[in-house]
Amino acid sequence: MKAISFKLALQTAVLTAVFSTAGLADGGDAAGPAKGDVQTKVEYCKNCHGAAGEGFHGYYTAPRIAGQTVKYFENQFKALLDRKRDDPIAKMFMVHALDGMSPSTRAGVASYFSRLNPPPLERGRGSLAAKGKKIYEDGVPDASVPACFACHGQDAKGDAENPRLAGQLSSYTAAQLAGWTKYRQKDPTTPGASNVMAQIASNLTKPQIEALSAYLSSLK
Amino acid sequence: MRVRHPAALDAHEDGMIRSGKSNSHSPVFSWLLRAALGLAVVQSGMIVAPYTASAVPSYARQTGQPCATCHTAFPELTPYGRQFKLGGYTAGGTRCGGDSGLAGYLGGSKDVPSAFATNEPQIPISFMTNSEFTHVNTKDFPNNNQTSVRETSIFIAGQLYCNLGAFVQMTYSRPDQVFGLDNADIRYANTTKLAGVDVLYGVTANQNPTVQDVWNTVPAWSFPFIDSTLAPAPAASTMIEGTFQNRVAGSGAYVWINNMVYAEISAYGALDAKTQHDLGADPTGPRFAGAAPYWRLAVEKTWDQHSLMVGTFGMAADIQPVGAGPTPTALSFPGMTDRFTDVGLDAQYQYLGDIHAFTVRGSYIWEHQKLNAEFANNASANPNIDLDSFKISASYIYDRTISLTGGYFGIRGTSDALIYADNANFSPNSNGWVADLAYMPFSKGGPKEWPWLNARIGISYTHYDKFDGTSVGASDNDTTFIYTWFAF
Amino acid sequence: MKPIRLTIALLAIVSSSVSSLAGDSDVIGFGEKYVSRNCTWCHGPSLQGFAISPRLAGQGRQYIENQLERLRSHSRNNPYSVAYMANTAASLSPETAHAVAVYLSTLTPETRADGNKDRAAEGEAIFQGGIPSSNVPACAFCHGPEAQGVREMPRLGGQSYYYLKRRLTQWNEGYSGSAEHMPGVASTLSPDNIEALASYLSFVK
Repeated sequence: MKAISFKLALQTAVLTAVFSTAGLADGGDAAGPAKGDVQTKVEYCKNCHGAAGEGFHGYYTAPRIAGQTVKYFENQFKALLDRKRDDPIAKMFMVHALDGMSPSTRAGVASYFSRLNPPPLERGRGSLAAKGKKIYEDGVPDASVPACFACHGQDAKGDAENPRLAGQLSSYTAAQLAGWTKYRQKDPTTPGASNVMAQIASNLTKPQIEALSAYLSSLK
Repeated sequence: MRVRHPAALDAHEDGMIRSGKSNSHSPVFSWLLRAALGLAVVQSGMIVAPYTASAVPSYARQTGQPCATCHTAFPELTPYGRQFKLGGYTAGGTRCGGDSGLAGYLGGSKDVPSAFATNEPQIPISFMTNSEFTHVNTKDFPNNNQTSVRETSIFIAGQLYCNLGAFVQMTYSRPDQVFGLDNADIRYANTTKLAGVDVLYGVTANQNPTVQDVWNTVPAWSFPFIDSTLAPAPAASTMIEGTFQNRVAGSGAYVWINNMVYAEISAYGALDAKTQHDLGADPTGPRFAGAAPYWRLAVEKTWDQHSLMVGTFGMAADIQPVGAGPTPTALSFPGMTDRFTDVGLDAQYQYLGDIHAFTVRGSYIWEHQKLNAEFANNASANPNIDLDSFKISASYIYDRTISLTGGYFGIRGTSDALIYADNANFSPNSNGWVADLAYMPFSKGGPKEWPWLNARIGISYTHYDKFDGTSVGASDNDTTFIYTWFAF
Repeated sequence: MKPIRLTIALLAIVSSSVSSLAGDSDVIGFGEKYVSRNCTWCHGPSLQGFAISPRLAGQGRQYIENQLERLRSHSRNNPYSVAYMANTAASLSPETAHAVAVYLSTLTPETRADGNKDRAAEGEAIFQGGIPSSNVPACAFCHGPEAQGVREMPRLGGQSYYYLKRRLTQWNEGYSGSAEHMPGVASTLSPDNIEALASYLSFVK
């Protein structure tokens, strides 16, 4: 057997190691999200967002993410990471939770949850839900509030950057509508912001918000 | 509730095995086998008892807890057992005015049957029986290799009414053929908050100094927990080590502050000869003159599975010697008293895992005897003598079912040619060790038909390095003791 | 509906569903009587915990009721629960369990403060934010920022370090969880994390 120069062997070993780890680092992007990583993160999200992403009431409320649009996920992730979304609960938990998640993992997580459709966690209260249905379908012309279905779909399942509202937890929907400008409009140019929604939210009265939220929470 | 060998009840009694040629060639297996068969025959006869816990089963019925909650290896107590006793033996009881009306309200759950689940007021009665086999090393021993029923007891134990509870044991001792009071502790306890600190307070009435205590370091409850009624035992012991059981009655008050500090002051006075006799005590023993104060202070830190106690206890008494004259129950030196002072230091550490439990405990008792009466009448060579008693033992208990204990004991004191006339070198000194292996199959619940049954079947070996003043022939007194102990 | 009438209506609905027995003070009074005779000897005179028995004072009503049920049915299966509490819980009717839970929830909890002080800061970080890199969720999300608990999620603040550590460790050993949730959460925690968390929580007021 020929004696192999130790130095050469070492160099080879180091180069191999470097290239293979480099491969791993980019491997995710190149070949699609590494399955294991996304699965682990998905389980992590479920701790707060519910076993099927249907939302959960802990001490705080985590919104339904099941069936959400991929584009909306992307916009909100960006708004959170850029510190442009200012609602206290999101700030408290979501910024930190997204820490260290690669873009491909985030995309994988979004894709996974967007395909889930568990039944709603809540049952909208009867008469309130009926009132909410009316607003959803007809808007409130006197207050310059357009009908929601026009952007969010007849079934409230959303479209691209217009989020799914069906089955969303009522306290969450209500809080977002009531606090829209404060929470979402810190930087109106960010994809997560919406001047349209800012206008609509400020025009809706508190009872209307409650009615809408109740209706939406019951939608499958 | 250890029952003492009668000979040890009187500090000055005589009658022990002397040194002599030792003979220990009896085939161990053959007498062990005889012992086992003998015990089985004897004990099975006793099981046909009218009713069906030391481990006191009436406590199990009252609390709904199995024996293992309060005992590692009965009668040794866990922290919960100590709490139960300090609280007056009333935990879990529903016999209390409006409470019994609540029994119907409480309902109980019928869909998950539990032998222990009941809210009806329980009758605080239990029974206990034990049998023994004794083998003493020397062939000179008259009652060697005997198997017999040892004791049968009835307990009134548990909540009597509201915060008043009892541990009263009345025992028929087969060897002595006497039925009498064995241990009695009746107490009332309550809790309050002082300056934001939980304080449990109570009063106790009892007839055996240290029976009211909750640590297994004090004489009434120390290891060994059961011993042979027939085997020889050292003659000397301090007065607080059971000499005055059933010869006195006393009461006192205690506090248990924040589950950490125990403080008690009690006082004991003599029972007259007739009362002693009626209670089943031997009235020929010494007598207290006046009231003897008893004190106890203990500090225990409990954290998670551990507890560590350090404490002190003691008693001071004016004692009138009895029986030196023609009448065995008369005062020996009327009008004259000795002054005995006992001061004890004790400590106990306990670990309570879910499978393994471990306890190590020790006590050191200093006794100072001012023998005013004896010395003035030429019944003692010294005006004052000291007697110290030291005990340390450690138990390992597996799954609350099998326990292995080893202990060392030593008694040491001033030699006196008159007080210890029958001892070699006129010395009270004895020391040795005891090992005990016991099996308790029902600690976590008895058979389905009778879940409160508890049993302890064990073998104990006592070895003497020194016996009544000398090491010569001391091991002739070595004793193998096999016992079966049932409570129901 | 006018706001005030709505409020009254809501209050009426809420209070009648809470006291299913005759009068709240009756429930609490009965609970106190039962607890003082049956629970204090192990859980401490003020129910602040003793030896291995956890503090019950100030614990959530729903949580206690759930645990009593799970102890009765043996679905809470760790060794100490089975040894000490299964029989105890079996003797409680649902009405008694409710009264006990209501009474205990009214008591003021005291902080056990028996953890390692120097691990507390680390434990706080885990409690408030979790550890995203090892997928530990933020405990505060369910248990509240002061670990005070809500509904069926227990108060953890001020509970004994030994008890919390034991529970988290038991879930990693495969014992059942009250929420199907907790064994999964515990599985993300290393023994070192548990040490820090349990220490921190024991100091929380």
